[in-house]
Amino acid sequence: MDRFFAVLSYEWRRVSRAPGFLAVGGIFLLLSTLVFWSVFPSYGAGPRSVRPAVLWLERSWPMVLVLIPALTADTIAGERSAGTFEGLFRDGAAAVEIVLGKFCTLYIYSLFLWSFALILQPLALRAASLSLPFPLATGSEFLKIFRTIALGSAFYLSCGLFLSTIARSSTAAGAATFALLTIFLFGPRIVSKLLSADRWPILWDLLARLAIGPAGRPESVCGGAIAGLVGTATATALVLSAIFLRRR
Amino acid sequence: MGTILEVRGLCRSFGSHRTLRNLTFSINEGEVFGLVGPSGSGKTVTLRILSGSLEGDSGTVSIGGISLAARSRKAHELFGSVAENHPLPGWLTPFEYLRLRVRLKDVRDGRRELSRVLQTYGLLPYGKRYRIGQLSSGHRRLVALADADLAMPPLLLLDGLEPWQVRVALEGRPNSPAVLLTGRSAPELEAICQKFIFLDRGSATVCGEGGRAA
Repeated sequence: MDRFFAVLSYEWRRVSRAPGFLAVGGIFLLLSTLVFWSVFPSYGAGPRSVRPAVLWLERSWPMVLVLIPALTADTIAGERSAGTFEGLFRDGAAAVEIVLGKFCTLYIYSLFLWSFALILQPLALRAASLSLPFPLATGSEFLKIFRTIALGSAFYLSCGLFLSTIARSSTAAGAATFALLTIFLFGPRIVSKLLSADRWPILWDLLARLAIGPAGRPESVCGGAIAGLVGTATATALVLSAIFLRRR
Repeated sequence: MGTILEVRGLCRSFGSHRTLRNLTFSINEGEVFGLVGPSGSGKTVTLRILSGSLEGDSGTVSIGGISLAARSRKAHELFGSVAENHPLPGWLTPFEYLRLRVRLKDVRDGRRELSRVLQTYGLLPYGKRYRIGQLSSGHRRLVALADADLAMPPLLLLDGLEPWQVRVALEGRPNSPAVLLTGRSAPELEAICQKFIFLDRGSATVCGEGGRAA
């Protein structure tokens, strides 16, 4: 257990000190604020059926296509090609401890970025002396937003980590993660449009639910079955990462 | 004195190029051993195989009587190694790096061991103030050597270190470790090495002792 925390503290220092990670975080917060400001004017005429925070998440979510590869690509593949990975972990932590330590750090950082981005919006409104006559989202909607962020980030990060484990370079890992996430984000949406909802209702519903984010609202992942599916896929990707890390 | 490292019939090829051919030697406890040869003779490959980061095609390596092929943790606890181009995470300070290695290696009495290596290798003035990336290459080598020396393993595998750096390691220890040190020529190592093995295109050609080896 102590080795897991050692990997966690090492990874946290790497994330918090590397200029690349800080730049990614800064750009993400800036873009998410811009997205919110693009959403805000449409609420001038009065409340709409979709609350601003929900619409903000829906429009911001595709940023994971850049955020996740930027966070995960260098984590194992980059350190391996630089040689620091072998030097650090050759006679120390087990593969599971390394994978979990790295995953947890990136997960915490990712959750921090999304939460901070969400908190930033009402603060920005207040700073600009603007206000909405209704809340950004209701309590249950906030819960669903956080559930989407928590589940989606865990699944995508585990995929990125797995690809970083098997890739030979961080560039290859980043490109593969980008390609995979594009398929996850837009694939079900495209396929569900090609299929008729009347003829294939179960498949259509499943595909729409799997398209976390752009395909629909956060409620698309709130179901227990989908949460279980995403959780299982995350755990599988992490176990595979540990197995491949041990073999190489 | 018992044998700490035994290498028998070690071979390694890269494609059609045979880098190591039937390499056989052994090192006793507390012995300082020089592995001498020109560039491309197979010194670094030998040390990489001995430290477990590369596998040989055939032959056996045992450290303290434990076969390296078994990949046991016990065998890895018996040696520390410094690679020719030992990469270190430049964003950590030497203190942070060595503390992390103490935790990963699960070193007994870690705090005392950490302060011992920081003091022995003269890293106290730099330990917390500078990051490894800001240090000179000489000091970075000392950080790598301090890492290898953590928990005082009975064998040190050192690739391309200066004799004075090895002397620091030997003088900082109450019990003398066995050392396998690489170099391009015997004269540069003869002040510190008790035995030599000469590598020429992967084969051990001459074996001598002290100054007579040159």
